Amino acid sequence: MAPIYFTPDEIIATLNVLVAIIDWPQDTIQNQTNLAINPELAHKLVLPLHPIWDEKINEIALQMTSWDKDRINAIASECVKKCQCDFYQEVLDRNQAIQELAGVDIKDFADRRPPKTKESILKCLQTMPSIQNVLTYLNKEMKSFESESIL
Amino acid sequence: MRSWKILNLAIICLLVSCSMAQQNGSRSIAKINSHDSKASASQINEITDGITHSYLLGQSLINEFDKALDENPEGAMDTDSYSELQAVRMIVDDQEEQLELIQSDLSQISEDSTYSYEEKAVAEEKLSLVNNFINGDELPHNLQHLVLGNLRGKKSSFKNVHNYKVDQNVLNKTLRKLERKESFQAFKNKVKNVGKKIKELVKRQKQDRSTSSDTIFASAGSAGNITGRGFPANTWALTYDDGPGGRTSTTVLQNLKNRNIKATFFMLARQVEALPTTAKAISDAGMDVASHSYDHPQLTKVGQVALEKQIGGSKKIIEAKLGNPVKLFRLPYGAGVSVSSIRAKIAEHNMIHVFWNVDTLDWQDKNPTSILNRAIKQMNAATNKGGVILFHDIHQQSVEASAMLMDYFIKEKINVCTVQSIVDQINKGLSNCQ
Repeated sequence: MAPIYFTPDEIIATLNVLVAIIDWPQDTIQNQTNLAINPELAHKLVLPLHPIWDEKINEIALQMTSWDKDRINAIASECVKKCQCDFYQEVLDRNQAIQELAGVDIKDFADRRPPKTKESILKCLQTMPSIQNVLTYLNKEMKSFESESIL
Repeated sequence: MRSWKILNLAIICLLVSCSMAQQNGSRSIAKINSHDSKASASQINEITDGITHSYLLGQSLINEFDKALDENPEGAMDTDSYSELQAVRMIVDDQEEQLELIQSDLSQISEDSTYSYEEKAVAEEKLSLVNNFINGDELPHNLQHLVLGNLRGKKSSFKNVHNYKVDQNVLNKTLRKLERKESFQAFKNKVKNVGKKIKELVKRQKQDRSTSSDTIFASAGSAGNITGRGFPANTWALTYDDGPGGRTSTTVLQNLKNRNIKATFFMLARQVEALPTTAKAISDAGMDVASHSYDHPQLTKVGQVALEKQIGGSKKIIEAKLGNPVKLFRLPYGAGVSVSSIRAKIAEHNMIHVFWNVDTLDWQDKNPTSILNRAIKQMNAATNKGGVILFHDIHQQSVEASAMLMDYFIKEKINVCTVQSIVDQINKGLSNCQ
């Protein structure tokens, strides 16, 4: 468990920023001028983010088991605006019970959403919550992921 | 620049000739007679001819070597001209030493009253042969310093000899004359043979060095951690984590089989227990099966007992289920590579840790094309165009993206091997990993 609690929104936003820096470094850094992260550092920061992302998948899955069909479908519809569809799709992929609860239509819903583009991601990043606390945590955690190697 | 190269060459030649001589245990390549005062006139002529041939041929080889240095500095030391230069250096060192001993012995005889007049006369006749040679009577003036610099200056260095500017026209003219002489042809053959032997020895030494310093083995140090960054050029290992995962792993396996590609699967022992048939099918298809812990905890956050279960325990389970030794391990999330106790635990169980240098980030991206593009971008950015690519065979998007990447490998004629076969290639000095 992470020593500090981060919301799923913070974690997804951080992941979106880091992946955007990896995929489109110039555009993302121009868009997020307050971030001094290059693609190499973004790759390093993603490593400690992965286990927290897994925790958030489990956390949301637990919550969704008590949701009704309409609420799950609403999340699946609205996720495009926040670039969170892949996250919620993963929750469903890992939890057959939630898929059954939401109905057969929800299966592979992310495939039916408009594909993520550079423009859509950069637009999401403009309205995301602050990710500074997450980045501070990741910077500390990153040290245990680095090491010398022969090859 | 040129003089620096020659100086450098001279130092290298001297160093190599010393080490080669030590290796051979003697300096007897051109030794004619162990009792030098008894050397015959023809033997003296053979030595003096040898010295002349050495320096003239050596100068011509230096010209070739300089040309090779200008054209391909990295490959110049692998050329025949370089190994033949080393041979010439060894031969001429020995011949000069022999001639100096003969000269010294003969001088003593001619001055020693215990020898008869007849003996003295024979010695003086032979001595005149040596002295005439050192005077340079039979050599063009411009080449005298080149051939006789060491003998005249005693112990003057190879560097000094070659800093002396040789008239190339005179050199070429003299070499053309020598080419007609049988003894020069025999000398050239001798140099070629010795050069070939030197080249083979140097190659073997290089191989020995590369296998001793770059060998990969289970270790808590750098030798026990692979990232793929130093893999042979144009050689990639396709790796899958977190499986076996039922339908997705089965499809990945089929995709690999259809394309005759071998990959490495870092399996969770818990999943091997849950899906032993899928795990066995992967193993039986000739894929590398490695361990990725028991159930994927972040190992920097567990205690020693759990660490043993996740590293040692998972290895035992996978080996018991599949019947093959597990030699590779990958930390869940890659966490703990810098923690010495974790690395020591992996080494204790005789496994090498495998990281990656291409992270597809397939676990968080549902778009296979986007994953593929990310992988290719990182592959193109890799300095040696080789390494370890990370996928997870538990996601549908990973199945599709990795199949597209397999097609890309085939189209671009890129080598794809298992991690273990690349390790074997490197450790055994093989030319490829197939």
